[in-house]
Amino acid sequence: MDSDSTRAGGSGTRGKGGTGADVPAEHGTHASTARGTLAAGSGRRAAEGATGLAPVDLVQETPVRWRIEPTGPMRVPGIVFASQALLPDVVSDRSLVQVQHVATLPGIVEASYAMPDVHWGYGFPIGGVAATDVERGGVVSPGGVGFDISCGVRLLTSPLARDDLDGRLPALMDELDRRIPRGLGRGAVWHLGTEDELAAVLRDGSRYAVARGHGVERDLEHCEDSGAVPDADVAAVSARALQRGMAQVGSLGSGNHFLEVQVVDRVDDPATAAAMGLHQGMVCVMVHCGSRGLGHQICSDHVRTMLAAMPGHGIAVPDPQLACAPVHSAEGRAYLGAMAAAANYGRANRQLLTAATRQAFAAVLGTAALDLLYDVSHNLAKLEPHLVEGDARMLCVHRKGATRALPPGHPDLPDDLRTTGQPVLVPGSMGTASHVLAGVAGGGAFHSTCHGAGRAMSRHAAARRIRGGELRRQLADAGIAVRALSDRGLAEEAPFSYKDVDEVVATCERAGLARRVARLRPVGVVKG
Amino acid sequence: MTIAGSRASGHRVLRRDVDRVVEAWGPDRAVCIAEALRALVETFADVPDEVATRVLPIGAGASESPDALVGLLEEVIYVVDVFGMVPVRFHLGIADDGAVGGDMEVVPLQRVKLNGPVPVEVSHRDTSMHRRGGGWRCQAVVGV
Repeated sequence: MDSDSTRAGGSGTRGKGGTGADVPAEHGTHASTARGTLAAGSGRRAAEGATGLAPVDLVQETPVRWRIEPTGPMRVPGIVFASQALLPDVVSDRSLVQVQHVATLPGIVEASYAMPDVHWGYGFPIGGVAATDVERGGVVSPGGVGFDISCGVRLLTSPLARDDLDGRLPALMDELDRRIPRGLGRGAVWHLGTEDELAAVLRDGSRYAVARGHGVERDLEHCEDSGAVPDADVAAVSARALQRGMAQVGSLGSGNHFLEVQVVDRVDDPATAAAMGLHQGMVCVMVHCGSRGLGHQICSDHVRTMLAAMPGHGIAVPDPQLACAPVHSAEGRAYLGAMAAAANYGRANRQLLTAATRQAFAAVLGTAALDLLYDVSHNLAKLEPHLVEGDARMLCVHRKGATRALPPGHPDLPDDLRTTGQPVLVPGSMGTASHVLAGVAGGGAFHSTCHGAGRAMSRHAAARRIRGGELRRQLADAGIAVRALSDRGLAEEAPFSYKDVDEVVATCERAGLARRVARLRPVGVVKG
Repeated sequence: MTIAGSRASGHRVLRRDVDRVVEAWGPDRAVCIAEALRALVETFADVPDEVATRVLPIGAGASESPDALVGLLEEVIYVVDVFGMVPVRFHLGIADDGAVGGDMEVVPLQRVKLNGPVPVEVSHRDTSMHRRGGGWRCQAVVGV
């Protein structure tokens, strides 16, 4: 170890637990912000004995990059991107143990990565990136994608400035409130008539939605994969998943999903912002949602299948939520086919919400001219070619709570964004800000970056700290109009329950994962 | 944490950031699982004391592993998500082949006061189903 390195060592004392409750952690980590300090390990080690993993020991490589050396069954190191300011958040739960767990997956290459917004998830951490070598026994894991397959963000730009909303924002928010279905049992924008229609959504995603009149061709050009992941396999989607998907195309859901009216309040990179069509004071709309119950069911179904199949493939994992199968196995292919179907459902979902938003803008403001800047998932696995130790390999890149960030010049970018790099959309909390980033040449972690602020406080704790009505008043005083179905749901998403998104994106920039383009602040929030 | 029931049978719920831990106990597997299902519903709804409008069948395999528990919990999530119905009472028994099944009384979502996010998935981590003392105990983690 470099003698100048800083370590934050394993502690394992009673902690907040990975999921925000006051329960004993399996074993934890302890943040040390003083250079050269090694925190003593003193906690429970039962799980370490079971997995053969040493306590998490962070070795600082740069001011924003930390390394966890491989121990026991880890095949690669863990690499954690975090600033000193974020480090206490990053190590306060079990997510770094999960980074170690992911490093044990068959076929994993380079490293098990953690983005600056990493936090505890099922199996994989949220904010985790891992790639496996498809031709060398590499696996795909539903837990590496997450339950909400293709959860993602799209950003719409408008010809309006903030002043254009003066006096009309309440009416716009009321119209959005009326047109954007969210919450349980509240229906959806699109009432699919038949199972064949649902199958078409699963195969063709946004393309089918646009073909049916719910958008324009340009929307597809500015959507990841031009609106549909290829090779979706409807036959790999269970009847139960299909039933859950039938009545939810064009609905936000609940939790941290939202639709926001935002204003560009700072331009960090004027040239790139201009190329993307962003400018100071511009009114935008950000949509954050995923594949609803269908995606959750597909994840559940295939985790169960893979748990049963793993012994036959000679695979053992330290956590059942890391259930996986070789990409080339029957179970691996079936999952990727079903996952692609769910991803297409997620994109169609965001496309339908876009159509509803355009109708609301037309009704209140007289313009439906909302252009899609970009739509990108942050829960997905993709087969991508990358160089590994100088060799071109086909990798299965899992991004769970992490966003692909293609560099300038990449052939998968639309022509008008070819020089800027891929737009990366990073939602913050409803009281703070969201960001637009751009992919950079040489971006690490297989061209991946963060996906949001990441929670810093449990939903329960947030709801105990403030009542929804009080939060609504505070946000109104700050110029943010909220249309939420429930006060409790609103309180659970209070801005103070999230990390500082500005610090998260600044850390991504310092780590060379992406660069900042513009910051947006919300003026209207629609939530479940 | 909320606790309901007695030493013989009951359940409790631990609310965490992204999930809920439901624990239940009972003199036999059917009662234990029924308590777990009640706990699941109580994570998101105040169960009304009123007559159900429909009765739906519910069942799982004969395994004594946690799989049956996971399957039945997923059944409840499915009924809420697809039909907009909230189970308010469970009537479960054990068939000759060991399968746990029966029915559940449900009411429309609109007649229930929601008190938190509705679970969307059941984790395969930290689930358990085992004998303890003269009865059974089980635990599951459900994501919200």
